[in-house]
Amino acid sequence: MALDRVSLEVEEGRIVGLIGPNGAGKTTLLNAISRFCDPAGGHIRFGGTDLLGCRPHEIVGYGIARTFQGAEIFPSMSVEDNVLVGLHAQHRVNVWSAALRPPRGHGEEHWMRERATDVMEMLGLAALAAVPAGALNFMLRKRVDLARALVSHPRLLLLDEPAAGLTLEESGQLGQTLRRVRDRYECSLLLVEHDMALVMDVCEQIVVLDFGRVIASGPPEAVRSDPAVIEAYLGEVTRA
Amino acid sequence: MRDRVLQAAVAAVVALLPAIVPGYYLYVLTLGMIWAVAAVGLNVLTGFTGQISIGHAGFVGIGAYTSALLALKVGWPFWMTLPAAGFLTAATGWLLGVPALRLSGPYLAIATLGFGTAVSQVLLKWERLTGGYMGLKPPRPSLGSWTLAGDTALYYLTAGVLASMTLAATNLVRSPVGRAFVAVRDSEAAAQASGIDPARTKTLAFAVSAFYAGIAGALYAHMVGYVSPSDFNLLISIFLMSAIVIGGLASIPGSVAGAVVLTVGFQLLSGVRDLRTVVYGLALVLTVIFIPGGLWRATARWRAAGRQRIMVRPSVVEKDHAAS
Repeated sequence: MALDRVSLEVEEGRIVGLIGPNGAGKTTLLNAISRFCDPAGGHIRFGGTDLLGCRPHEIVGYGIARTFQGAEIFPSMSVEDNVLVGLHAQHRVNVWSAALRPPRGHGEEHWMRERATDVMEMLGLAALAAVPAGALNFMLRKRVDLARALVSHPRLLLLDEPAAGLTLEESGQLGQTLRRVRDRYECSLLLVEHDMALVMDVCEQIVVLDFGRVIASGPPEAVRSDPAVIEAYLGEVTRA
Repeated sequence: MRDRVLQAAVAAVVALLPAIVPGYYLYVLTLGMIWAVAAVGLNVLTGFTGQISIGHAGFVGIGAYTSALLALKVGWPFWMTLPAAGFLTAATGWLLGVPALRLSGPYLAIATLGFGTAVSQVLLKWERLTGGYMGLKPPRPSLGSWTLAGDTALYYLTAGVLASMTLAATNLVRSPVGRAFVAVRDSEAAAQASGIDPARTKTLAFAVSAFYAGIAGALYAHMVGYVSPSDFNLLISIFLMSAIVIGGLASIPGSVAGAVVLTVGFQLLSGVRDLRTVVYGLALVLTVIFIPGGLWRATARWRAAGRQRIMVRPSVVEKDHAAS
């Protein structure tokens, strides 16, 4: 069992960090919320809905978007097309209207491109719009993944290790970006992260998992000085 | 800009060919264009959505027999049997897509192979309906009292159908629906997180692809004027797969180019039967090694001098770059 009686709440508009040693169950929790895996029991509520009845592709319709640890992108598509895929739940183009009219022919393509451009400009991808995403380096791929999630204007954005594989400077920039994302799109962020500097800097609430259980939860200062956390997680880091 | 010039040039050549090409070769070109319709559909499924099908001749056969039977037994005119064949075959494709969802890669290949084989067996054994190995002789296409009989008329009709089917496919793959096809092929997880239902998307691709095969089958039945179960065997399925690989996976114009080049090439080599198979195999191997993107992409630099923007590239090309 990867998770055991985990209870976690994300308040609206907050940036919440989920930390814990390797194998603590952080990604499993993220996958359960985004419905990529099934918990044995319990509830996952978002607004008024119980998400356990949903399939993975239905989640974005409720306002939950996610990124992936290894930066899941569509390598053969341009950066812009990658971002446009993120709007799939919101357009009304079906196979008939798509085949019978050229892409620019229906009004949908226009607003979709506007939304995509807006997100790409904010994340510094606008100049790369026409480049195939598969040609980008890992850091830029992660940004494409984030842009694809963000373009749907989610109310809750789940980020699976956004700083993994980034340099110190890049992850510093990421902190600013995440705050801007929250302010601009007025969404809540739940991030799973190993980078302690980033988590302490950007999160307003931190939840610590160890062996599938929540061992601490609260603002960064409180979590940082929690003996159980130091023992389980931060202790290892300082020793290392 | 060059694309426009190229389109106009192709249209002019297609329109003028009947004036210079002798009747028999016009018939071969017509056949090539019929297979091009099926190849475009197969590329939507295999090139864009990443679902392999080596039983595609089965769909073509269903379309051909549907149109032939509706014309012979119900007396429908061609302009009604053509779409009917398309839609009935699309429904078959949808149904085949449902079990195929659980399969991928070599398993899907074998399942579709089984489907293709089963179709030709059914056509052979269901003698009361299909006439068995004797086949059927559907009438020439007609509009009211006007029958299109000559090679030139059939050529123009096929060219018209191919042009509109190609245009529709080009629109489709550039639309949000087409992006969903490629998204499912490239990353199922990211596609799902974006709200795309992979199961629905794959069955839709099967249906669209089968629709094209059904239209091609109906054209074949009435152009050739004779259909038998052996017209839609495994070799045709492999021929179609070769056409899209040689023309270019995930390329609509490439599908047309591949099908026409292969059909005409076969006819030119028809005097040397054994050599034909060798040349055919050699062409495939050389394409995969030297122009993995296919014929169409090999000319991309020439076509887009200043504005190099290829919207969708096949994943095989991607892997190739990663390896080198």
